[in-house]
Amino acid sequence: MNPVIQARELSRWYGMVMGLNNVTFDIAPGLTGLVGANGAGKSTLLQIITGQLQPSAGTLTVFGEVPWNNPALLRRIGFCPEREAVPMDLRPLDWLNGLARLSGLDAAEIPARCEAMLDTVKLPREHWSKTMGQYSKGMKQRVKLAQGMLHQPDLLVLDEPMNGLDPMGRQEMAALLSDLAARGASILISSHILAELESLCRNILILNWGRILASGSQKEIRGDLKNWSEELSIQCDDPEKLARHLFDAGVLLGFDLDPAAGLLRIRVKDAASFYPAWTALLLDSGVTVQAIRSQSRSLQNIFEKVTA
Amino acid sequence: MTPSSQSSPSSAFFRAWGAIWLFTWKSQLTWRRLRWMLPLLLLLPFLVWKTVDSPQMWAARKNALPLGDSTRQLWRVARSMAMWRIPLAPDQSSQLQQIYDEEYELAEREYRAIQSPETSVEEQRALVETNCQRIVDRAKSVLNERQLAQFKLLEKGFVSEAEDKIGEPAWNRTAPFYRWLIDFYFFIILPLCCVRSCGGLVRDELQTDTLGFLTTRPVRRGTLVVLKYLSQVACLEVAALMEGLLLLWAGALREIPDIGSLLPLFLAVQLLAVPAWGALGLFLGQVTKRYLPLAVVYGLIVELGIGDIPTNINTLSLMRHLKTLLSRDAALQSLFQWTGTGVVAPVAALLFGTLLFVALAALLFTHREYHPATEMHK
Repeated sequence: MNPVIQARELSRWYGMVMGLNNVTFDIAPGLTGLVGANGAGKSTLLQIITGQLQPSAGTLTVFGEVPWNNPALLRRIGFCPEREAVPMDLRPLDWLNGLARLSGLDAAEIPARCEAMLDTVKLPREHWSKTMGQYSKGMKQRVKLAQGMLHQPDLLVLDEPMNGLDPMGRQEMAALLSDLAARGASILISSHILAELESLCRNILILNWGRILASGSQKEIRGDLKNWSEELSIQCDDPEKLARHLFDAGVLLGFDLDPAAGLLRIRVKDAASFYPAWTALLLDSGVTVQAIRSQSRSLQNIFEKVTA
Repeated sequence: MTPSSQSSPSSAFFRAWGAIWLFTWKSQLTWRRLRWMLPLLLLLPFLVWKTVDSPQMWAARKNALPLGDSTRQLWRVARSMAMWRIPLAPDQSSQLQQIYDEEYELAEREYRAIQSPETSVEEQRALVETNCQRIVDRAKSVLNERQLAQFKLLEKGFVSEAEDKIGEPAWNRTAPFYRWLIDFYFFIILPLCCVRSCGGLVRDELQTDTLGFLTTRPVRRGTLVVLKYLSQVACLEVAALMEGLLLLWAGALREIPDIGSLLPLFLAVQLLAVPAWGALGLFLGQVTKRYLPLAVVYGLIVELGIGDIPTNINTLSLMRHLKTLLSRDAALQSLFQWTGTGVVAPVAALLFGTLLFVALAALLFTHREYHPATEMHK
């Protein structure tokens, strides 16, 4: 499958400050998460993808074309920026109406389309007659998302789209994005709330200090990490006995004990050989297990390992 | 629904213009803005109305030629004669007093007979000079030869003093109106408003961080900036038309003569001035976020400096072309004494300047990035 976005030796600097440092990556169709701490270069990358900035060196193409000053390509891209700013004196329908015209949509269909978009992002109708200056952060976020999706782009680029949304709103947004992706749109989401990306995105791009540290599916990234170790948290009646048993079996890299809470945290040497033997090892130990949780499969854990 | 890709470039342009037009007008015509814009529009016409005299007020305040007081004049003559050791005899003094009283009264009568609020400076000077000549002629029968020679010198000095007073702007009732209209409004307020409005077209969007919503749309960056300029200029033209009409109305209330003939000329020149100053502002706004100070420096160097150099280099000044066009009004020409003639050349120069600045701004916006974080902290 052809990549949606291709970057080759891409760099971008602001004077002496490096925004992106010689990065090369491909982003496949579907939902992709862009992960990185503040200042990692996420927004710079998204602005190059959406044609707001030019690379200082290297190339970046979207659907095989350079985005800067390329109206034909921009017609296929939707963008929802991180910042809260929206035109304060405009009503959402007026704003969407104008942006739809700028996007080249058929004038006759624009009003219905704008209303449908506001319904899609679940902006309550009683707020449509207010100017956006009176909106809460969450409401602005919904309108911003609506403007990004207005022209049904092939690639939707979202910079921190969940900011300002309540938990219910985040859930609705996640469902909406999954639905869009299922209908064939490619979506690139930047977020620092990794738990959301984890459930939403199969593919991940990890940025740190302007460099790409890892890219691909979460499974692939875990597989690529040389120092990767599976981490499990086990609630049982005798954590000390279980730890000794597993240590004797030679499957552990290390462990932490919390006898008072009946908790054992283990780090496993080789996940591939550990999991087939896991049930037998537990039975042999004679310990009663109440709960097992995987600590290492979270995106947070991947991010920490990659950036360590 | 899909974007209408079959549409012609011109229809796409007009559709995009419709969008930018909508953004410009919808954000300008809000109660929040109108609340302070309307009083501002009315402020200058009110000041004009307040500070310009009506013919009645003017006549009440300026009902005399600046001849001074006849008794004081005689006292000055007597003192000077005494200093030159050719003192006036008592009968000479009383006869001269009578001459002064009669001639001053006659001059005032003549003045009131021809007086209109716009009695020209030349007419007033002629009256003063005639009055002086009559006094000297009559004094010949009263004074001896040496006294008469000195008296002629003194009278010459008095005439000169009176003429200086006539030359003061306060003597022309209409001058303050034209100073407000042309010097203050047309050459200070209007250019500053246009530069501020059009210079902020991109800068204000950077400040509020909303530029990205427009630059990520399928419209060329150069086209985008031109559309924003056209929409803003349309807004400015309406505001300037309202302000211009209000100012001329204030003038009409004060019975400024020939205001009806000034109106079409003034509005037509304003119609050209607004896009020209706006284009300058647009260009400067692309260059730096400190476009207003830069515009003031530009105004001082190019408009006031180079524009006043009496060679062809002064054609670089937009203000000069505007003055040439305005000088077709007789009242303005007589007050400001502008040089320069013709209509086609200044109009062409203004249009060329406008197009040049807009093209430069579009070129800059096409090739230059405007990143909020970097631009606003420069």
